[in-house]
Amino acid sequence: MFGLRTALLLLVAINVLVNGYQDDGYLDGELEVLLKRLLEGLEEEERGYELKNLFERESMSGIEFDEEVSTIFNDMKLRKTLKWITFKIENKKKIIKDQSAEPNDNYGDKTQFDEMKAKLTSEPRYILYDFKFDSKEGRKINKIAFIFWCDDNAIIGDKMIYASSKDAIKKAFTGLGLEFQANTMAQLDYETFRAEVEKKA
Amino acid sequence: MSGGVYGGDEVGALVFDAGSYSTRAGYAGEDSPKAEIPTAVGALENKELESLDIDGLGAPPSIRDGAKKKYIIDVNSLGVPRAGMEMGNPLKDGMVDDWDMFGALLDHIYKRYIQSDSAEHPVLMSEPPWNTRHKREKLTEVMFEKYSIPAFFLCKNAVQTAFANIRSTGLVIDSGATHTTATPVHEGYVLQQGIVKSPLAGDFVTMQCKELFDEMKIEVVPPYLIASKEVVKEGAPANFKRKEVPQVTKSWHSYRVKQVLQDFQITALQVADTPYEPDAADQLPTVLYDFPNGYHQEFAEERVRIPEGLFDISHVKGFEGNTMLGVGHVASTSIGLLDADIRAAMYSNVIVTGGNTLLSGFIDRLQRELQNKAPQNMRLKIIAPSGTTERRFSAWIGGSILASLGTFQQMWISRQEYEEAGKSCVERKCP
Repeated sequence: MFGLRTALLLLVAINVLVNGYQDDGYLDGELEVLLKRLLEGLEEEERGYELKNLFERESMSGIEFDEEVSTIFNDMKLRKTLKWITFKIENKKKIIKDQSAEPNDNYGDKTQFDEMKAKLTSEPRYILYDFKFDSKEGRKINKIAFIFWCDDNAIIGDKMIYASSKDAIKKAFTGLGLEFQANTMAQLDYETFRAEVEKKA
Repeated sequence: MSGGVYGGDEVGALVFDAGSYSTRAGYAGEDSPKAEIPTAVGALENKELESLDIDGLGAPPSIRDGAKKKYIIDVNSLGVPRAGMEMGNPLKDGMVDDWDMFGALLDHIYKRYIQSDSAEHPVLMSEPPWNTRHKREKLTEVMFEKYSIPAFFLCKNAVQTAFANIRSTGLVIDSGATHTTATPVHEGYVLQQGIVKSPLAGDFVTMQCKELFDEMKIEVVPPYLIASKEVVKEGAPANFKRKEVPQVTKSWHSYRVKQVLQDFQITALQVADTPYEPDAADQLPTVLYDFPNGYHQEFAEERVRIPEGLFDISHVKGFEGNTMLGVGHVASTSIGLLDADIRAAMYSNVIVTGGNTLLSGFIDRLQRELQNKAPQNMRLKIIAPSGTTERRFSAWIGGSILASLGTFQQMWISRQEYEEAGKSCVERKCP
């Protein structure tokens, strides 16, 4: 427990150091979340509970995932290190990162989305995509969405293992708000997703 | 509670899916069931057993006092001709009807295929969406009391089928042996008001085949009656020797005849792309079918005429003016009963399952019929797994996925809950 608390405090401190103490609403929000979790953690501990659910590393389907997975999500959220990333299940055992790309402001959101789409095959994948665009009213929208890509033509064994481990990987992404699923290439359509993101953001 | 068996060594949950043609059972987390056995049970009156007794001591007390009947189960044992064995089906209209037979079926699956103590495995069982409260409670009771399972869950088979296709919303068209149904599933729950059933399914086609052969004066002789056969010319009368068999019951004989007809169904029949027209049907390629007794004949127009009844009953002799719904109608009627704002979601997720849908051309025809019935510019998508095992087992596969989900582990009815609240907790826990 002590290790956990220290880690969280460190994370908060590092965030302040790296990003400076800016009067940035977005960052403040993130710090708030971290602090809240820390406090919750302390309370739980006092009551003698373990923070098992918050940091559970294993899903019921027996799938494990790299520590890296949640770190990647946090980096994406806080530091915008990646535009998108895909995760795959290796040897029916472990969720690991597959492909990724850094954000490139020279290209539009759609172009980068289609680039990612071109790299997908009929094998299922978990995708994190950082949507960044201006809404119709000119609002700046920047949201990470989780997309579950599961082709109808995928092998049944793969479909099963990805479908039953989805909840586990989502747990690693604390604060994730948007979730989509696509079962055909046609459903993996930027405009459709964008409209949804705009509606929900 | 332990769930899947992917990486873990823990004991897994069992998934049972009883259909009116076959029953599937296996471990959650695996991609195909361990067992698929016919949902057909042969029953021998106990006095038959006593008559088998040779040493004059009478039948063993366990049999004499216990069950009134002895049940014969599984493909191999059912294939043997036995005097006085009556065939029965534990299910009626998809629901458990004869609990003795159903119990015998479960006993057999546990003993022969699972080979492990039933008290160690939670059980997820499928049920038809129209199952009654009484039957659900009884099933819960049987599983906890007779098999002492540690946890239980009942799930609608349509929901499981949707899960097997990685969807939580869609219209599930299930065309099996006894009936074709359309069940709308929305966010993982069945919309009861939209369920539409029709008896036009596999057994109906089998019956039509039977009538066709009667009309053509072809005697269908099941393999158990054939001792030897000679090669004959096409269309020539069969030349075979009959085997001496015990006096079998009529129900068992028709069970064996039905198997031959079902084989004919799957090899020779084809659903036409367009509504039946005699002229077009005549131009179809012929298919040669060999009967077990050596007789063989080419079939042409009949190949499409028989399954046509599934989609349009009005052409079938004896059913003129009948209002039974064809497969396309079942689907569109079901969607029509739903709220207007979820219809689009249903049309774009039509999930097809059931052994009868494996008739060649079935999916194409359904696509065409629905396209014609759907409102204009409605996006229609039919989801049908291409593999035959997947199509037949999709409800089982869905159960397998469901039982290995992390979030599912809180949904089980545990033994403790059952002991505290009794069998009625199934209504609350398994909507």
